[in-house]
Amino acid sequence: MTESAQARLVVENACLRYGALDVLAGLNLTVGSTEIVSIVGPSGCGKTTLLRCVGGLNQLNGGTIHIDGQRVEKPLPSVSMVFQHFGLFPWKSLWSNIAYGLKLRHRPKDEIASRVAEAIELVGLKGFEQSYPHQLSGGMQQRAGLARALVMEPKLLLMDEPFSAIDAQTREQLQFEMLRIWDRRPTAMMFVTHAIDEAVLMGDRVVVLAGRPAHVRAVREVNLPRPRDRSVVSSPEFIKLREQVWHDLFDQPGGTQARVQ
Amino acid sequence: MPDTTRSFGARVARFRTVNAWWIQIACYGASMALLVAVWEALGNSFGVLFVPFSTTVVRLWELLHSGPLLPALLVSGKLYLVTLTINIVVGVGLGLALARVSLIAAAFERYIFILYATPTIALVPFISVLFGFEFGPRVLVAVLISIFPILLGTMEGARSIPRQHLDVAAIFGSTERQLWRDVIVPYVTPYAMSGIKQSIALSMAGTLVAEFFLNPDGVAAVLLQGTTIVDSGWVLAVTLFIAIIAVLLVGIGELIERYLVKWRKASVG
Ligand SMILES: Nc1ncnc2c1ncn2[C@@H]1O[C@H](COP(=O)(O)OP(=O)(O)OP(=O)(O)O)[C@@H](O)[C@H]1O
Ligand SMILES: [Mg+2]
Repeated sequence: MTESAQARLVVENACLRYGALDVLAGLNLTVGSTEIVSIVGPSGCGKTTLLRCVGGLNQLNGGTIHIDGQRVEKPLPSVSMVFQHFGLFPWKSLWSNIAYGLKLRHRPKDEIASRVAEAIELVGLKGFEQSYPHQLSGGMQQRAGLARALVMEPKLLLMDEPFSAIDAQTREQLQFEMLRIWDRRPTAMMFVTHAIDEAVLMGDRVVVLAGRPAHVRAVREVNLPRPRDRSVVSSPEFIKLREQVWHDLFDQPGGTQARVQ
Repeated sequence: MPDTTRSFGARVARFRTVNAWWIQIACYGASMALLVAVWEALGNSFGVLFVPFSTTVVRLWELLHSGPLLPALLVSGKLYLVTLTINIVVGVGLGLALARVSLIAAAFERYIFILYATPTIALVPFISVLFGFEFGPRVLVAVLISIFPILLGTMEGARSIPRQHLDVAAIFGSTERQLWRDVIVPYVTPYAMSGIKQSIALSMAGTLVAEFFLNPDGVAAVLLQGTTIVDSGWVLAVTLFIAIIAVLLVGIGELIERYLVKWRKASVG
């Protein structure tokens, strides 16, 4: 566990209901200031809901969320989010989509220009500045979604299955690019995913949630060395962790039988 | 065995196919030639009750050159422009308000559908009793006939803004004003524009109906004059004139739409 003095995000006893449905009930979680926490869990267990609460898009019914000591009641400027379905504005060019957050904050024009150019370079979209989203492939759109979040230089980056709507090859490419970007500027990250491989590859810790209501079923430390590259995937340590997380997810509590769906 | 998947795919592809501009223009020209030919043939067999196209064109030229048509056009044009402007301003404004402020919707939405379902002609006697026969009541009648596509289109657009767009705005710290500028207005524009395009044509009908039924004036009066003296050449010439103006105005509307929603061009095929 990360020392709480260093924790960027502290979720304490989070409770949230949709009508009669308890989605979060007393969930606790911390994320260190440069830690990547992968979150896996069965579909519908409340991962997106948790992320939205941390982002200030949903309000808790009970408990608290603090980011750098500040209570989250609405979206905080130090937090950015990458959406599963990219969430680009189809009426804005790629450049304007990426500049969106900075423009909202009335940053000076030349600062916007240089920061956006840097972000576009970082995600490898140079030359497509004037394209509209419908002219880009899914992978390129998510690169733009990533650039739009990174250009804000967030202290906490929320990623909700960011690569799940992208083809397998591009996904692999983006995973390693994401790791490379993180190596250059480490930041706190909550990384929700359905893919166990991806969770282990990206995370310093893998938090396994179970529903409903969502609670932490298991936490796995990932002590794979950074920077991580493709060789990590075939290491015995990686394979062992992947198996452990798999069992955390699919074994019935108390039983030894694996439930395969 | 027929490959149903492929034929369905082909049908979808055909639905999305955009033919070259010259093919489209050729089709347009061919349909117009056919229409003129049929008109000419009908006219030649009906005689004075339905004059041929060629006679109609000559009559139109006379009416324009030395007849009452141009001065009438000024009168109707003013009514038309005021009507269309009100349709756009009130239609878009009220549509947004109805969609984004639930209390306004709760108070007024039913009445809008009642008004939409009521033939405006049925209201004309009451409107003339209440407001008279002048410019104001005419505008009212014309607006009641032609505002609904804009109003309902805008409302539909503003109600269907995907949550994801609103989430993105919220996460990046958008203020309410910025939300309108960056998300609501651009998202609703294609919906409003499609309503405006319909209303451009419908406002002409509204203008003529208002002129017909409230103390005839303008182009409608000229049309009526032709009917009274049973001059089919006159009536057809005015009708042709109205049709030409309608085509031109809708064309302008389409150009504006294409400019405003160019980001959607490819996705709507
Ligand atoms: N706006 C809402 N109103 C009512 N119920 C909701 C709402 N959003 C989510 N839920 C419910 O809350 C539960 C958790 O949803 P959530 O989207 O957080 O799951 P998830 O873990 O992200 O699932 P997935 O892996 O499929 O994305 C689900 O049972 C869902 O039906
Ligand atoms: Mg989800």
